[in-house]
Amino acid sequence: MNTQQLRFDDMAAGDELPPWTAPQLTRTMFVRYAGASGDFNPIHHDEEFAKSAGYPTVFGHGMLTAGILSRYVTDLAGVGNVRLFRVRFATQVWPGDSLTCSGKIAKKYHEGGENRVDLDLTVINHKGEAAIHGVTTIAI
Amino acid sequence: MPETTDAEDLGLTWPVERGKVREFAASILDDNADYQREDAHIPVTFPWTRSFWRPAAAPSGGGQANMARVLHGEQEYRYLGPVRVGDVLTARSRVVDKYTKEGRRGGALTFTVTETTVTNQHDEVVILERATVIVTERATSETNS
Repeated sequence: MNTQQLRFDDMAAGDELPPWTAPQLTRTMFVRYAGASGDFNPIHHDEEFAKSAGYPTVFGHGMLTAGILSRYVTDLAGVGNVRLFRVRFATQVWPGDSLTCSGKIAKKYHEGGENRVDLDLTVINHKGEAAIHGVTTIAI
Repeated sequence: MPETTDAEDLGLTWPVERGKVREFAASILDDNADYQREDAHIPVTFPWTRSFWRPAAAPSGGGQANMARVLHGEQEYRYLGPVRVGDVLTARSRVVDKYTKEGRRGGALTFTVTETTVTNQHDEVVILERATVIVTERATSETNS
């Protein structure tokens, strides 16, 4: 998608924003995020390590899912317009998962000399389970 | 979760590099052209990458044996000012809470909450970060928490 224009005057609490489904997760994405973030916990890339720890396979970094969600937010608000971003990790994400980000307007108001909007956020996997519950405040 | 938590950062200073911002944006599947700019804003969760700038000898938070049982509970960023390529940031962290809960399927869960204040090269506070890390007694596929 990438930066669609939200209009403050047209927004109302309770409005749902168009959801966005990210490309299906792959182990390569986990490795790329490990390299970019510096988070080399082997549970995210080493199949043997993950299995020996009792997992069926490797799983994605929580912060990768958070990053994907942050992209959804900056696509809505524009880069540099995020004032608050908070996530709670609910379940792990696995190779092959398809994650859908969605947002709902909780509140709009004027603060810090700018129009701000609070959004409730979720990331849901293709089975309908929440991977992340989040909130964000964006400047519009 | 990375091998290190922030608990040991009494003042970690690191530069916001253009290539690193591009690399990180790509890793979160973000192809926004704004991240290609010379003066790009950082992606929201980019401060996570500061672990690269820890001294090599920094404590590793328990080492690999623990890595299978470390879970990320929550993460929060508050941006008080813009952060762009070229800025030099300093993070100071402290543990603000630590508590233990019983997991749903048995096994203790230890929660550690760390707050980090990030200042820029002008001594302005630009980011407040809060992280909750959970250490489980067994693999989380069993505790489901």
